[in-house]
Amino acid sequence: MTGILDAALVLAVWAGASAVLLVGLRNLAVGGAVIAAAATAGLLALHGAILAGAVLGAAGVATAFWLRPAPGERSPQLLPPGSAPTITLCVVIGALAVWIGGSVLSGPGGTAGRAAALVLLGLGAIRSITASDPARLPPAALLLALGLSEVAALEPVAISLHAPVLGAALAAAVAALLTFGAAPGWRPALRLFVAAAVGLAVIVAEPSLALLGLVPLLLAFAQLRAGRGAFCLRSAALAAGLLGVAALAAAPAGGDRMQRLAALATALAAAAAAGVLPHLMELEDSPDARAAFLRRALLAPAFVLALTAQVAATLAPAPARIFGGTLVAIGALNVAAGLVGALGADRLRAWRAAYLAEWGLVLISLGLLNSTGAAAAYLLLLSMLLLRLPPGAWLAAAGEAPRSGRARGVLLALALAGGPPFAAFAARVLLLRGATALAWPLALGVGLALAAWLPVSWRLGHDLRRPPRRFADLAQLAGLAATAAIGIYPAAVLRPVGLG
Amino acid sequence: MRRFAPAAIAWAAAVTLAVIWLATRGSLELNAIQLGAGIRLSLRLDAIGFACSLATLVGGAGLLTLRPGERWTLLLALAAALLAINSDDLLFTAVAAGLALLFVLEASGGGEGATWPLWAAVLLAAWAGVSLQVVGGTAGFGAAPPAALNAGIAGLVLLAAIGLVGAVPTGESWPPVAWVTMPPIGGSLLLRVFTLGNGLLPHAALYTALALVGLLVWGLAAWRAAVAASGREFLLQSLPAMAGTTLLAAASGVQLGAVAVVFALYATVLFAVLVATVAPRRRADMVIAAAVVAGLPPGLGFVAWLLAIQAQLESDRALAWIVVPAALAWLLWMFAALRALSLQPAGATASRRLAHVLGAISVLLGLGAGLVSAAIAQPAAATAGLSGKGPRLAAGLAGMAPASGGWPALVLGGVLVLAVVAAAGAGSTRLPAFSEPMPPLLPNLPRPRLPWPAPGLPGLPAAEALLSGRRPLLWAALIMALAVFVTRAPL
Repeated sequence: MTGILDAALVLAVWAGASAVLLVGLRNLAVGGAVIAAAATAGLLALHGAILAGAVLGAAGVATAFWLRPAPGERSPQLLPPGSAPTITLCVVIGALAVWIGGSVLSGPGGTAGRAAALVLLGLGAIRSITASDPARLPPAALLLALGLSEVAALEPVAISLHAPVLGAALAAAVAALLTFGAAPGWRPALRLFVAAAVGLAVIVAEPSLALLGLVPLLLAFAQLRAGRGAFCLRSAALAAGLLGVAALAAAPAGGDRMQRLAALATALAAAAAAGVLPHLMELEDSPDARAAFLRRALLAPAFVLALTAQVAATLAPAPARIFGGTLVAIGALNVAAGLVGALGADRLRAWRAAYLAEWGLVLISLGLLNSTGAAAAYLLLLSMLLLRLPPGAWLAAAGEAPRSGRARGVLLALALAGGPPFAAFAARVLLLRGATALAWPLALGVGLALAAWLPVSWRLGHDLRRPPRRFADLAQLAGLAATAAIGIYPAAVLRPVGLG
Repeated sequence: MRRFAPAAIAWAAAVTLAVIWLATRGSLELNAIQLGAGIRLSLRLDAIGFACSLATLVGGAGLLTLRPGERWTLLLALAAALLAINSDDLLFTAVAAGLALLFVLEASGGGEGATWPLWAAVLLAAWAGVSLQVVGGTAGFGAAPPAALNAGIAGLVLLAAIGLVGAVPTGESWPPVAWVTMPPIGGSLLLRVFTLGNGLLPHAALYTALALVGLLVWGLAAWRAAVAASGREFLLQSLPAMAGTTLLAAASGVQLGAVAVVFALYATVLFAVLVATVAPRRRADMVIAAAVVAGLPPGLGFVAWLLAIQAQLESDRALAWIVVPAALAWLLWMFAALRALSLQPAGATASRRLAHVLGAISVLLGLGAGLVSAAIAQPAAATAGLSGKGPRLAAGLAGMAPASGGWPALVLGGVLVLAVVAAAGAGSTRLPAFSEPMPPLLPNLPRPRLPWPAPGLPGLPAAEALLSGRRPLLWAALIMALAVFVTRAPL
């Protein structure tokens, strides 16, 4: 009897989720989401998680209704032209989900629970990534959130505070002030900042991989609702989907291979959440898009540190090494691409490329999986938050030319290049030590990359010297002073978080 | 007053340094303070520190005195250089050298492209420092066990030193501020690497490689000087030439080599001040400048070049045949100096007495080489652990007496000076003029140029669009491929 009910509920989840992907009429898509939410809740309740099921079902249905469109916003067709591949995709995803949930994965939730979660994650992520029409995205994001929530209800949830994550969250708050402190018209963006604050709170609490996956989704969704365009959701949806898969695969019952898969998915999710290669977050040409990029960038450091802490807590040492290796590979890719890309003509794109390269160093540092690497990553992230992101705000807002100021340009160039006495130099010293202790060829590669940083940063420092607006100018000075203070005495920020 | 205050401060610092050195004779230490990230602030004024600090302080003070237009940040660069030189920890040396570079860039108002190798040198020193920490547990010069200095770490230190002394292809384009600040740091590293290895480099090939690099740099500088288009171009080549000599001297690994390193550093700093301040517009100035940088006896350059070559003969690790190409390089250098006199004088005007003053200083240092050696250079060699390496050097007021041949500076050099003074007194100082420029003996050498700023690459926006989710299949394919590899590969 339970088996039949399970099968029926999984079928209902699949049908509801497929409706979200397929139908052009948005009300019907919302209806599909309601069915999916209800069926998921039923599955959870059937397998003992009655409270979680009730909460998820109520929240899912309520959100689906909240997302219903105004009467004039309906699409004209039930199944738009070119729906055949989508139908095929829905069938394939459904079959794969049942097979993977039943035969490949094991652990909590049973076959039905895992299959339903995979259906929601797969279809939700695919729709969120592929849809170009922003009207179709909210129900898709809801599917993804439902999938993540179901996985979170299946896995153990524990509040755990890690000092480096808390430190990065505090730095993110300061950086948000430096970056957006003088932004005109902050009231319309208030919802976004509230979403970011909630996300930051979840990150600091580090409840589980699946719940962490909800954070980029939440922020992207808020940006979507604020009319910022479909681009907001792509890499966030990918990160969320990957973290859902990682949470399902991380169960110890799944064995070594599944844990390796979890490690890989978590590493790729970290890159996607930060908006770096191989899953770039687009930097479109509108100021809104650039501001969305910056908001994500502010949250990403704490998020990635929290993911690293979760991996250390949930995965065995061997799969954790896969996580580290993947991070190192992704980091190297970003360093190379960033240093080459920073030679481009456009100031904003050069800035973003240097951001990628800096994230590359962070990922390599984290991939070393030792305390030296963690300390290097922490310092790099602080430096990025305090020094690299604030100039992005005025570049993104208007791209005004900087005022003269050669001395500032020199200081900024050296600070961005990671020269002493700035924080990034101490980070580079730690990174070199960690890499040398692991394998000298890695340290050689890192050293060569660091040498290439100066010409890139010189150009960037020249482009960013003395911002035209007073607040941006002060923010830049504050960032320089803070990173110099940290660089002169890095123990001041490393010891309190247990990395000194 | 404000104009000369930085120079006064620099001179006062030099005097203070000398007084402190005389009072403590190497026993002044500042206990370690852990700054975090493995960086330890630990300072010690030993003989190497004193010798190299004196070079940078006197050079900086000279530059500030003779060129009052120098920015005051040169003082900060000098201070950072002092920290780097007197650091008792290799990692902190790298930190302070990077700080000096920051102030050099600010003070010079240009030359970012040319000084890029200095940045690489700072990173190399930092890498060497952390490697020493990994292998030996500490990067302290006095604390690291000699066995921790393996060939890789020593190679990194030597590469950093090569960059810092200016033995790089862009060296002649460095601003004068860089030449008085950075080479003493490089020189101190060249000597301290021997301190780390208890007087030895960990692999015989390092001696050979260092000597060959030094010879190559000297030879290339001589070649470029020999085909120079102007007197100033010739003078500029004297700086990398002396940097190459510094390396050649250090490569001998004997006491005389360490002494030659100190003289080469002083010569570098003197040449830097001379190149920065003396304008070769007046013929007499050009003659004096050419004589100083050509290494005519009894000048400082002569002492440095002579001792560097003699050190190769006294070393059982150096290659004896290197003396031959080194002597040829010196000969080529002499020819270049002679040819430079035939070139049309050009450039800005400068004070009439500047060249005379700097020429006199060069001669005085050359005549007093024995004293400088005994008081400054030999203690530095002892601190490097090289006092017992090679034949013992005797030096004093009369001159120097290395085993490979003495240099009675006061006797022989004094006679030469007297001859010049007598000639001047007889009124025969009118300089012969060349009717036309001498043709270059050698073809012109192409100059490597670092692209600064680097050019952009086409096609990047398209690549960005491809990887930002507009082609979701690419993302999916990548993830699937990685998943299959990670779960199936025997990792």
